[in-house]
Amino acid sequence: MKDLDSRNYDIRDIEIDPRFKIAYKEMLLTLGVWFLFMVVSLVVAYTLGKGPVDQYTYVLGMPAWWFGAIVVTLFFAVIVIYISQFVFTDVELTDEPTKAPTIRNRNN
Amino acid sequence: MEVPAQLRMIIFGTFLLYTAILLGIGVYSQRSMQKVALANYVDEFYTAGRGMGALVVALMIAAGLCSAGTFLGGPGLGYAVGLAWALAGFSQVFMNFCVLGGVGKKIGIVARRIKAQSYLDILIHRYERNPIVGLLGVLSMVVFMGAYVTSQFVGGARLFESMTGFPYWLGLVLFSVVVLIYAAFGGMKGVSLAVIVQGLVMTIAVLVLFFAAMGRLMPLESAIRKIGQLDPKLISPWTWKPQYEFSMWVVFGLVTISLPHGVLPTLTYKNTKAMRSAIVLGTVFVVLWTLMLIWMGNLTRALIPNLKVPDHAIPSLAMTVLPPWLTGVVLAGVAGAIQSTVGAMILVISATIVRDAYLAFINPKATAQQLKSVTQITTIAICAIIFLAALNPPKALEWVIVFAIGGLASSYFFPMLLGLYWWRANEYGAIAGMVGGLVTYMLIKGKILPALAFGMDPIVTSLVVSGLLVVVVSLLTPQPSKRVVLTYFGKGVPEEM
Repeated sequence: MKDLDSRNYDIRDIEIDPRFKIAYKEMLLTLGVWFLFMVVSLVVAYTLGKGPVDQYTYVLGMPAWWFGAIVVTLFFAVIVIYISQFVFTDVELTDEPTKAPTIRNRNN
Repeated sequence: MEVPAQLRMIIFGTFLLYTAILLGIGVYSQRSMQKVALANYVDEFYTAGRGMGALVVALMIAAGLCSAGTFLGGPGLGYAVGLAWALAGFSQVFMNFCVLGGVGKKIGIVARRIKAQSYLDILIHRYERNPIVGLLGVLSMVVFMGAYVTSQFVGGARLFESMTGFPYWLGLVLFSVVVLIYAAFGGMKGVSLAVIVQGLVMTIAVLVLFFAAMGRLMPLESAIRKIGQLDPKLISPWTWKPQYEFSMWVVFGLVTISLPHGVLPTLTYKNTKAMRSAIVLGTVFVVLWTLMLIWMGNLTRALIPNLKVPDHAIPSLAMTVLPPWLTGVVLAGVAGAIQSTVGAMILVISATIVRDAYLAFINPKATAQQLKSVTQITTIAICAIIFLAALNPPKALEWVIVFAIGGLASSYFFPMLLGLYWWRANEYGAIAGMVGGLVTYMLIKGKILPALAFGMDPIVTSLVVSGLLVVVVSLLTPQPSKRVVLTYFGKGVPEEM
């Protein structure tokens, strides 16, 4: 009890749950993909959308930049769905003693 | 809006039918909650026993985060500001991915370890049950979310008034009483059943409206050129400087991770397979809703160039291009968007009061029976207060709304994200980050130090300040206790938490 309240311990002595390492990587991937989506959308919109409005080129009845932004969004929708189905992994949510092999990570 | 009397009656009739269905759900979920064993009551009430499947989780996030903003305010800005705003709307299309991929798995495991019933539980346990974290959390959650819920009801009831001609109070009653019934008596079960109906109605409304409007607007190119002739700004992204557009993306896309009503479903999902499917389903729903609705707000300009109230873009468009009974479905869709957000928020507020105020400060040794009664009484009382506030909106309301979502986001984003993924974050850092983010936001938004915004929405600066404070203050103060690190990062709960 006393030990648990301790604020003097070496973090390297604590075994990190492998599921949390997975969760951490997936969080980085999620934020990374979202930032990429933002950057690509903004670059496409603000380059194709430059210049006077009456000289816009139109694709399928839409200004090219708007069409581009929609295409980018749909493209990323496919990526997001792919990631959720084939990259994200399933883990057990409860702490069953049988699950998850022991990994002792000294670097983390 | 000028609405012919006959049309009004048909819209009203369709809306009543929708309300009756929700009422049925309310009664059903109330009955099913009565059968729940006393010991499990609070667990069932707030998190549906952590057994929710993919569709419900997807819709809870999607419809919970898509409020009146997606149906009224967003298209209204598409109408008034133009496609630059609509582009910012795209930032929210992956909200399910951001919430579930960003924090879903971690919260799913931790919530089961600490038996969390509320968003704030996660923070409070992570930060050593520090009373200041608790108090700050409870206060900001209750004030900001309470005000936000009230404003959503006010918006919905005003729309009802202008579409049906019936008085405001009747609109408020119809909009709110059903939610109160299924949320206060059915808890998460009621909210999650209702959200399926609401999500369905929202999707039907959006699809029908989009294709009917497109049919009327063809050929599209000349319609858009016509809007460009009204005002070139309406169809150019350069209406907003790129850095402002960027900040809007942060506001509507990134910070969804830290909005309590959006994160709520991560406490309830059944297993990670359901979570992954919820990302797929949610992406499809939100892409459809957002893309179509916000763009249509802009396209409405081509058909109705001179709306007095831009927020009425979607309802006005519906009345122009749809047969009357389908216009009623669109009103029901708007109601669904509002009610689903409100339902989730009421649960968040109630859980916060019961778990993080009553159980933490007032009566830590409450019995199961006491907890059940307190849960019910609190939820009903919240609903009653919100109803009364919406009936006669107080002046302070608008002031609080200005700060509500931005304030919540700028105070919770980093304490939550870093708390979950950086073991070294501690309660001192969290308090500094929460206060610092909120204060910065208020200083800029309240026009006391507007220069700090650097041409962007105040949320960006506030987030940077908050994040830096969490990191720096945490590093300067002792590391978190072993108990917390074991629970949030280690291989198991050390003991009964």
